[in-house]
Amino acid sequence: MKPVPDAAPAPTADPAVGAGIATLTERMTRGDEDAYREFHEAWFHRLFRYILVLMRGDEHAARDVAQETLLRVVRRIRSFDSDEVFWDWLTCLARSAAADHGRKSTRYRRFLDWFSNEPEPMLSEPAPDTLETALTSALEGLPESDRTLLRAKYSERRPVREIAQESGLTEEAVESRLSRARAALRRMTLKLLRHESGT
Amino acid sequence: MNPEPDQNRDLHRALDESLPGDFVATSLAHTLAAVRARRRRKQATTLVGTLCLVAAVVWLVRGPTKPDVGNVARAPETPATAQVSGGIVLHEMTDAELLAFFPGQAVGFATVNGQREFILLPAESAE
Repeated sequence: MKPVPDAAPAPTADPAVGAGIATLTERMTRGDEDAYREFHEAWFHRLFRYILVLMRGDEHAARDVAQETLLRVVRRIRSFDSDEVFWDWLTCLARSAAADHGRKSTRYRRFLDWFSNEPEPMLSEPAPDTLETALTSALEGLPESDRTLLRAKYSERRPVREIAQESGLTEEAVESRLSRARAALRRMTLKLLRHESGT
Repeated sequence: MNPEPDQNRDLHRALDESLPGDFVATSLAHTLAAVRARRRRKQATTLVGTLCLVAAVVWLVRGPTKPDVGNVARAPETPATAQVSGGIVLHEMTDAELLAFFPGQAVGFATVNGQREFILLPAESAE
């Protein structure tokens, strides 16, 4: 594998990571806006993916729950010494926000149930590999060209320029195809997550 | 700092990048707005707490303040009542009680040569 400039940052083995989260959360408790920006940059996507699975692929609900979770982070932030403990705390807040969201939806659903006999879906802790399974299946379900493109970009971490040269396309065209492939992967993944909740 | 474990990081990244950028930006903006609101609330609470503390200290040091009698309208004094020997009760009449004895007549009080006197004018003088 070649090192490429636009690759994702590799997982750090820095022993100061614990100190990093301690400093970051300490700054957050003081209301430091830059600290919240750093927190958002580092943790938002992972948190949103977790919530997406928690909400069974309902992206609209996941957005609401993600925002509520972040507000709870602001209200209840305290210092943490390790990433794992901080992540556990974040997921705890997310589950609590999801449960509250579920309760609100349930009240509305009960009102709707006056007119139908649909059973209420239950919100429970998802299996840890739910998203991985859905993503892998979604990737397999994509057309070969999209799959090759996504693998080249994300698994092999090749730069867009190189992919463009190999495929004889412009960089803009590759970016455009990548964008469509990512959107298709997302749609398929969300569909699989919803389907899984229905079975 | 990179909190994420290794598994399926590549596909995660593809999923993350498929999110609309405005959603991520809006989410950050709402979070920062909440941080600012919380900071303002905290500052207000601290300010009110400090003011209360200062007021309490001042009150403790100076003691409770007495009302300024000179600026306050005084209520009519209740007349003094005294019991003298022989079962006679003397009742000191207030100005209002005295004036009430002369309904429809021109009466009043005046200070003459430093002494306060009760004035009762004849009916024709009042006109």
